Amino acid sequence: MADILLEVRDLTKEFAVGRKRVRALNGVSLGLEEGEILAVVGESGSGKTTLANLVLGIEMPTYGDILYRGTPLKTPRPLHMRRRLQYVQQNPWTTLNPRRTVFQSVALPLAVHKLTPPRLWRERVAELLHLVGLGPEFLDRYPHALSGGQRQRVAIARALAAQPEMVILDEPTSALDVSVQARVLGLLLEIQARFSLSYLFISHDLAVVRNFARRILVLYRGQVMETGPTEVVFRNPVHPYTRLLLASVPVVSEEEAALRPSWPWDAQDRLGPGEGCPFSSRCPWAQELCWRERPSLVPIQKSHLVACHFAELFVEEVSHHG
Amino acid sequence: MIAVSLLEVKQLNLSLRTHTGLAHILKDVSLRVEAGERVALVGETGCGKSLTLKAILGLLEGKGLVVSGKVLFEGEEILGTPRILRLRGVQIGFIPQDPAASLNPTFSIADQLLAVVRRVRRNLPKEKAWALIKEALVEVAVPDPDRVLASYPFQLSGGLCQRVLIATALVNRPKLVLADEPGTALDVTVQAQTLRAMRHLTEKSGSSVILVTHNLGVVREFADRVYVMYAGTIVEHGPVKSVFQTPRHPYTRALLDSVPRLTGGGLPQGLDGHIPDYTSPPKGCRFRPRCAFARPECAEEQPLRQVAEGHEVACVLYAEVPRG
Amino acid sequence: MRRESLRRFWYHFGRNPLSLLGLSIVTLVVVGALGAPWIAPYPEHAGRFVNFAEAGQPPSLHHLLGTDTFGRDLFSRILFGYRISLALGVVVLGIAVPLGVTLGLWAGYIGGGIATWIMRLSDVFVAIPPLVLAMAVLGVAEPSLTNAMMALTLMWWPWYTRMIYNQVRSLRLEGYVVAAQIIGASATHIMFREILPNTLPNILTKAALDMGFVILIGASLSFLGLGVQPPTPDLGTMVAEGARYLPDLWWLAVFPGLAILFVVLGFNLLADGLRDALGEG
Repeated sequence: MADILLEVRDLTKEFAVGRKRVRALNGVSLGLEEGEILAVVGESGSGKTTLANLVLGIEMPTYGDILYRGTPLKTPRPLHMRRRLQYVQQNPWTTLNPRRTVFQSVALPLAVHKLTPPRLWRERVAELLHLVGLGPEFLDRYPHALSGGQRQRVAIARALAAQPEMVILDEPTSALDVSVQARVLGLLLEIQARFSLSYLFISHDLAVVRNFARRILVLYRGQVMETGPTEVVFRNPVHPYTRLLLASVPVVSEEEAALRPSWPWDAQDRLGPGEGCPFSSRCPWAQELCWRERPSLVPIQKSHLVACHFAELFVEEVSHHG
Repeated sequence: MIAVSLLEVKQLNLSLRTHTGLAHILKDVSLRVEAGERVALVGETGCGKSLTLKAILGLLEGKGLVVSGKVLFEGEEILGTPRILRLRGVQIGFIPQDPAASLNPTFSIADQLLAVVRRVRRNLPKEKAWALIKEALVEVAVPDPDRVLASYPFQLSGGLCQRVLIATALVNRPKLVLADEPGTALDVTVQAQTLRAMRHLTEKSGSSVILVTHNLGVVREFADRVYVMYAGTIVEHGPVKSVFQTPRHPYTRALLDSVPRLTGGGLPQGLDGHIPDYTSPPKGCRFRPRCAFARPECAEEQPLRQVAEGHEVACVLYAEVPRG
Repeated sequence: MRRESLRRFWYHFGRNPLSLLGLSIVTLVVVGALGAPWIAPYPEHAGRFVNFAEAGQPPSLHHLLGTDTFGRDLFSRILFGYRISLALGVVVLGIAVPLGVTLGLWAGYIGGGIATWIMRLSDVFVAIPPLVLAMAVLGVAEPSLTNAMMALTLMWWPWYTRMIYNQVRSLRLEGYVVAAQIIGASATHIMFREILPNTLPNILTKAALDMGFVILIGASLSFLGLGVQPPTPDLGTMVAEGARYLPDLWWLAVFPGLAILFVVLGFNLLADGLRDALGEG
């Protein structure tokens, strides 16, 4: 088994909203192996962006630890850590400075981390652009002359310029057209294999995750609902929230439609949860216990973990059906 | 006598003056919606689908626009006529893309819904009007309609705002509803509920729908028929089943092939290149520069040719193919 | 590409006749002022020239805008007056803008105790009408061109500090700023290379507008005898002196006054045009 590159232990982040304290992230633990792609899946308010910000050191955790190769990370991050851990953002329209050329943007990590002597910057940037499928004619272009897909490619080149070990991909293709999305995702996989990078892939698109990540972690309101190898979780989704997510994906073929779990759509939402399971207000199977007590993440099978009091029920149900 | 379609767009052309010259955006866009039918208009960014929708709604504005063609609602011209103003919100409902930005922040939900109801039934007594708008919210599965009615838009979640907008568009039981990427800004689970609510409600009121979207999955789940747009032209249209099972146009095929599958099987290939510059689009088929099957004849205009029942394709590959 | 943005800028700028009018006025004034020694029909009239034989003549072909009580050509003096006005504007803004912008960047991006103090101070300055403040300063210091420049500079920087501060507060959350932070770029790089270029359109627009205001307030100070001292041909001084001969020698006050109006209007129209065209970019 490969070494653990990034380990997150019991990570919690609270924000003050007026007088109340809101937990954006509630006791999340995860491990990312070297050369692995882990998808963090969730909707708005799931805490996936907070998780990324904490790992990147943009925000301070309320408590919990983030370890990189076994050593706890300091906030703010020291310069050598900033090089190792790079980031590709969601929005291609704001990720590049509109007043700076492609060359200037991509050369920034070279200058900051003194990775290449200045006289070789242009050559190196051209090389990086080539890596992401852009020709040297892009060097002196400004972002407004670039399409969304091209901008994301430049952002990827900028991340690669730092020669990172790990990249956080925050919905890198969600703003792109589907034909472009496929190209950019393909590029990311190619680069990952070539430089044996580790990706923390944040997404809400389950169809993309299915084809991109080896493992998946489902977040809901700051808590891990289910995690496991992508194939296993898609074949056998146990947590009701994972099932709702899968049932919600609009698909283009009968085969995919058949794969989606059924969902009782007409069930009404109930009151918000108290101390219990965060999904209990939307869960059609929620019981007294679910309102009262927060379920802990327990293994269903080896490396397939679920946080649901009634997980056994759903596993059984699934095995009955096939 | 031939039955009149509910909505018919005939040879819609649209150009726009920009600093780089005249951009020929929409080229001979024709489409038809029958009563009670759900039609999707699908395409990628910049293909002109939203402009088509705006043209139908009479929302095109700005200097430098050159528009030609016909938009017939129940056989009567509405393009560039004041008729559309009387139809909008009454016979033609509209569900905008961005729910939060589309509701007036200074009025309560009840006020906004009542204003729409009063456009049609001016003298409806207050209690009846209240009952009507409350019912409208229940129909779109709003869990606590009284609370929502008393709320202001900023107090509601994006999903609730979207449902309120659907209720607003449908409260007067319009014959046609136009929806611009509904639920795109929302989470998948909320989007799924939104589409279900729209489907349920339009079925109940017998309204026709034109749904503009970039999501092929949404098309398959929601629509009866689909028009595929590329670079301001309609390249293929037909019943959803037929188009999804046997897509004919190389663009439609590439687009469908680009969608990652829930069943796995690896990442799709995607498509190289980008939409042409509208100031000098390629002659004939506009997909030609990106098409793997392009041949010299593609530089000629390609009319829509029938390939199956109600399924037409604008591609030279089907020029010699016998019907069926 | 730079050329492409420039073309777009011209497309939007050129479509508005008022912007073009503003640009023409400003160009005309700048050319007239810089070229005054060669363009002016009587360049020697700028200084202590006296010719009582031609004193107080109304506008004629010989003297386009007439002559003053010393027999000096008014048109020539107005051209030289523009030199003073523009110099005042350029010096005041040349110091106030970089100073105000730097303080605004610092307060907005780095913050801290001193930054808070700077912002409070700028609040105070912004709350007092500029003319009153300048008059107060010149009430203490000796009236002269240099002191007028200092007084105007002193009260102009806070406006830029405030404007940039507010812009930085929103720009620092932009994706590209976050990206630079994650890469590990220095605060200096982020402030001057990432944020500053994106505030330039606003700075440029405001500076063009302020050019007109500085000239106007400078002329007002001279009018009150607090600025440029005779015999230097300053438009404000000329209006003040000419006013004594109203209504008989009306041109003495009216033409310098119109000259002020002309240049202020020019900068205002130019600023409007810049705002619209840069906003479109």
